[in-house]
Amino acid sequence: MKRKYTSSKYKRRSKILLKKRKHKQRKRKKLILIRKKKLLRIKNEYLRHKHSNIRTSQKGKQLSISAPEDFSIVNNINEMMDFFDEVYMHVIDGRKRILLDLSRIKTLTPDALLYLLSLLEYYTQELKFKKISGNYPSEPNILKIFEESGFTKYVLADASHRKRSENILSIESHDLVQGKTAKKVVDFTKNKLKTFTPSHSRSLYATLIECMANVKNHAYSDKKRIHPPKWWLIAHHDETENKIKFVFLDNGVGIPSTIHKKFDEVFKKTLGFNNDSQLILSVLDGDFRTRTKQEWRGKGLPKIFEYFQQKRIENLIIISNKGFIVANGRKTITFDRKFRGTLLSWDIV
Amino acid sequence: MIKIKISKDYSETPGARYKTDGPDNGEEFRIKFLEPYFNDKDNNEILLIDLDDTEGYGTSFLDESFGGLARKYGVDKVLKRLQFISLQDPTLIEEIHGYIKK
Repeated sequence: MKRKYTSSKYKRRSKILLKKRKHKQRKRKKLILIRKKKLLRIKNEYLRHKHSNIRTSQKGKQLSISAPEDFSIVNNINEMMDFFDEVYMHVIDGRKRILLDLSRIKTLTPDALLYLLSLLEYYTQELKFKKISGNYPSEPNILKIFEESGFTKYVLADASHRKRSENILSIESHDLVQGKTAKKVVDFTKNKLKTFTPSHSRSLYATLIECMANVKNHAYSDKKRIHPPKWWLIAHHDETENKIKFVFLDNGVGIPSTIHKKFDEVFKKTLGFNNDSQLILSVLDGDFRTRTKQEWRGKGLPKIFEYFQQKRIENLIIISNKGFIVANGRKTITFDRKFRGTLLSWDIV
Repeated sequence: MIKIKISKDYSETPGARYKTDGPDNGEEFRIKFLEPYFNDKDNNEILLIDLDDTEGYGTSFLDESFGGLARKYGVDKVLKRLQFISLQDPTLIEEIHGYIKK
């Protein structure tokens, strides 16, 4: 009988297998190197712009990252970005399980909940990182908002932390324009604010449709994405001030990124646009009309700004990439971090 | 004269621009409700569009429905054959004329 290891067929086969194994090893090493470089870049970026020390603690292979006590994007953006960047860094690193420690939260605004949801979806669905979990706030009032907002519906949690509230229209989410959802929000507002006129109702409906349409048509230009971008929406009735606060968030590429794709740096510098906030302001004014190079498009954001100027909506805030606009007084807030997506927040009194 | 009431004949909750954007969009409205009358060369009837009783309109719906019609059939032809009722929000008519003329 011929000994196997001497046959020429066996020798040829094992040579091919060895070649394939070496190719796989080289590919794996390359991926590890790319990931290390990415992690270093993220870490350096984070340390360069860090404003506060985020509390972390490790227990075995689980890393606990504490959320800021003031859990609010609109009121505490720098500390919130520190928190989310710390999380992102460890997601990219990939070696540890992450626990988002929300127990110390003392104040909470709905925009932070939406942003947290959008990032969790990004980590689990786009980056395929599933080793992330969280706990609940200890403060009873904060826990109540958490439960009533519908946040737990979107994460893997038991039904015991889901409650309904008359004062919160729980989080809605989709990737398409949904007129029926916009109607639901309008009806909620009509029910809560007795002075809400039909004219304001139509403006609110149009604002919501514009926001959803912007996500569909302009936010999705990142070809690396697996899933199309989505939007999230929440409405909260503040009984003490008798106003309704709306927050709309999408996880697209952001307004400034969309503009950057269309116009080159020289053109933008010529017009004096040196930062994302100025770009967003100019979009609100109707400049840089649309990414699609079709003149009749791109009226959505200017329309929303028009409603603000007509006082049909109030306290408009827009955050996108590194731009932070407070429409009252056309104020821009210096912001050196990258906000993933676009957030619009406004009130109706 | 042919009357089309959007809230009754199409949708109380008009959406955005294209079919790919979501339901009740402007493209579908234009193709199903407006274009058949313009494709028929013997038909010169006026189309009276009633904009009332919907929840509201996004700019992209209006532009795709009426501006899109003008881009396909010509501004003059569309302006001649379309008339609008909008008692609840009269500013819509001027807005739509703006989309048609662009």
